[in-house]
Amino acid sequence: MSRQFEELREIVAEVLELEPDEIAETGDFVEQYDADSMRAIEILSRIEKRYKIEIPQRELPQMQNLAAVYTVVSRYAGWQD
Amino acid sequence: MLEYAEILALLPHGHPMVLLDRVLSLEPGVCIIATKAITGSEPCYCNLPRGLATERYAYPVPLLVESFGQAAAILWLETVKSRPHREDGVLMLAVVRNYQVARNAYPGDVLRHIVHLDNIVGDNVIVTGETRVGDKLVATVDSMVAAARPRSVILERGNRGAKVGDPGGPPVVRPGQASGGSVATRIEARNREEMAE
Repeated sequence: MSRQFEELREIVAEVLELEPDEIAETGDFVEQYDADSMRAIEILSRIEKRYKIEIPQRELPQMQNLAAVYTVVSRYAGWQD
Repeated sequence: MLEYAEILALLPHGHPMVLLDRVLSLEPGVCIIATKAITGSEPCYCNLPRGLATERYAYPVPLLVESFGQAAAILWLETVKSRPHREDGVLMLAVVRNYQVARNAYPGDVLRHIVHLDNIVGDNVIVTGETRVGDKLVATVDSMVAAARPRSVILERGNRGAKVGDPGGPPVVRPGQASGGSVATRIEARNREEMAE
């Protein structure tokens, strides 16, 4: 996995108050980690600050797990796999 | 600088829940410094028995948080006032992450809140900052998230009898959904007790 993917895992883990290795790639934030809409906004905000990008709020519903977050952020940050 | 009358005009709160007295400096989108003078005649000290120890008159931490939050609200309102936004939005404190009390504040102290705007995500604002009395640190907060939600949504759900904490209850709607979802009104004042000791 790329460095960015692991960075995103750390950001998500910090907001959800878990260890990075507890966040599975496709683990649903709400169902598995008890996240809510405010957690999602905190995650989005930290990603925006970290990578100096802007992600529209309409993308939030898709950002349900780490892999989906990576997909969305890649698009806005211009990451190539 | 904003005086009390201007603060009253900006905040939706009324007496005695307006917990700010003066704004010393305000840079929209960046930072606000605002003060609140604590006095022994405030409602939180009424009906206390006589002969209490000094510590019993420590200003209540929830009011410290509220006062800080009101400073954040003014910063936010002054930041977004030139932007299009929901006219009937109700401001709510949604998340407080890692609020730490370094020392108690007492009647006679003037709280000085220094609030920095971290980010705005849709109808939500994220701030960080600290509260001081003179040069002494009273409290710090890693991040505080406030949300604006349409009054109509809150009233509709309130009328259905939903309570904060119920699934589908007020006040937060999951992004992209008209209703339902989990509620995020929570205060996480972790470490507060241990810091206060």
